[in-house]
Amino acid sequence: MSLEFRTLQPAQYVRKHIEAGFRPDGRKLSERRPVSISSGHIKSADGSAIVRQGNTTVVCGIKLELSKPATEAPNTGFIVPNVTLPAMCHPSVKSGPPSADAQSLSTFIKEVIESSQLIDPADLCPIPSKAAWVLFIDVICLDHDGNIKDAAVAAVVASLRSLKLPRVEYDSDMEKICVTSDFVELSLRDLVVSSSFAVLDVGSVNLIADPTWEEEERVDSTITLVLFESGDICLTAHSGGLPISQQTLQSAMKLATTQSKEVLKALKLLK
Amino acid sequence: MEEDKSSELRPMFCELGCITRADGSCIYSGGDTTVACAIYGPGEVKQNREMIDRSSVEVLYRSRVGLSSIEDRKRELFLEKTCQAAILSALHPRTSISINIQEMQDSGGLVSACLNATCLSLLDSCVPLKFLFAAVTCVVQSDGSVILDPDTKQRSKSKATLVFVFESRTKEAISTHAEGAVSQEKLQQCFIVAKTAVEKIFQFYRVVIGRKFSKDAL
Repeated sequence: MSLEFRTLQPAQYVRKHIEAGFRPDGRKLSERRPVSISSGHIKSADGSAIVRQGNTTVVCGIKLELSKPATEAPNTGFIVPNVTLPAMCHPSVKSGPPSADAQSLSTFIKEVIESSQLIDPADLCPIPSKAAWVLFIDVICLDHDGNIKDAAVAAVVASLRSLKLPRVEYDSDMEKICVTSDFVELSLRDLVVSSSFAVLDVGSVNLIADPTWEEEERVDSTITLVLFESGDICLTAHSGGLPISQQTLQSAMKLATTQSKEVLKALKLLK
Repeated sequence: MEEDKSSELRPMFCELGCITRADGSCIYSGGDTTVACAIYGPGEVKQNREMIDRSSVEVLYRSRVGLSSIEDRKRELFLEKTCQAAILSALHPRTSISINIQEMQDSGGLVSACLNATCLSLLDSCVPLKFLFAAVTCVVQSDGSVILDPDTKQRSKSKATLVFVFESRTKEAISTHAEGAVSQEKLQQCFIVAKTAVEKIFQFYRVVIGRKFSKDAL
């Protein structure tokens, strides 16, 4: 009986659950799905991580390439993030050029990295004006059950933590750049955690944490807060159109601060 | 004596109906930042974008120089989500409303200029709307001071940039985009500063539309 209701009237199905105070998967309204992160398993990549958040599964791989730094920025390396939503992740995703969603996720990751200043750009340039690292950060969603933003940010931070940069030497007599087999750890300035909420107008309920695909589809508005370990905000992204009051913004910030502690614990356990 | 311009919006200027072939258009400038917007719709829709219960809202943004980048896609998606919320798309099923934006000059606050230009063009094209929307940009400097509607110089010295989009009925925020590290208190402070300033933009809309329908314009 409830399967028919779920298929034929999905919006009502989700709404009825929320009115009763819980979600279709049994979670409380402000409860986040348990997150499991593991890193360093993909040996062909220089840094990697896999994040599972409920059913949502995201893999991140980082490949390093050596390149000449730009003339206007001779001391900085390059960070190139890219998020792919392949056709396998969800029946509604078709193969072909990156969709607007995938492109928007790529810019989101780029903004998080730039805004948080996780990596000191000078760390990526072992020999100024001659050799700079290019970090190709590829995030691939294997299973899309909502809230890829949070999983993607966790995967990127975890893989950056697992990344080891080979030491680079410059032989000035021969004018050659040698990549040695010694490794230098990349130290991150801080850790960031993303918390996304769906914005609703169901009775007195305004926010539900970590929406699944089913919930994300029925809701127009989401708000994502990316927080540092200290609680300061690195990035805020809210769009969709349902208005949020200052109180809602405040509750979102409070929830994000509490929830990010669990993910931070998982990230710190990796090393 | 220098005036404290940090909590003022730059002077706004708008001309409606300048792109004659479009259903609605405007050239809007806030300070030196200028944006042109043209709206075609509700009109024919491509089959793959056709929706049976409402109109498909499509945003196309072109920057002044260079090819399209994924930055432009992100801007388009941000605008699209805001417009979809504002437009009564259920009144025009199986059609498309196409919003075309051309950057003419970027002197800071480009995204808010695009949003404001879009709202004015939607009014000019008489597309049915649930509410009006207006956007405000503010930046946080390294000393913690908040500057409203920054120009290029102020933006380059800033630590964080925040864009808030408010709607005209409840005066609450329908979209937010904040980049750069800020404390939670600072975010709240910027929210309040932006919310106070957005009143002027809604008043500006009234003046512009009033001018369009006034007898002097004929």
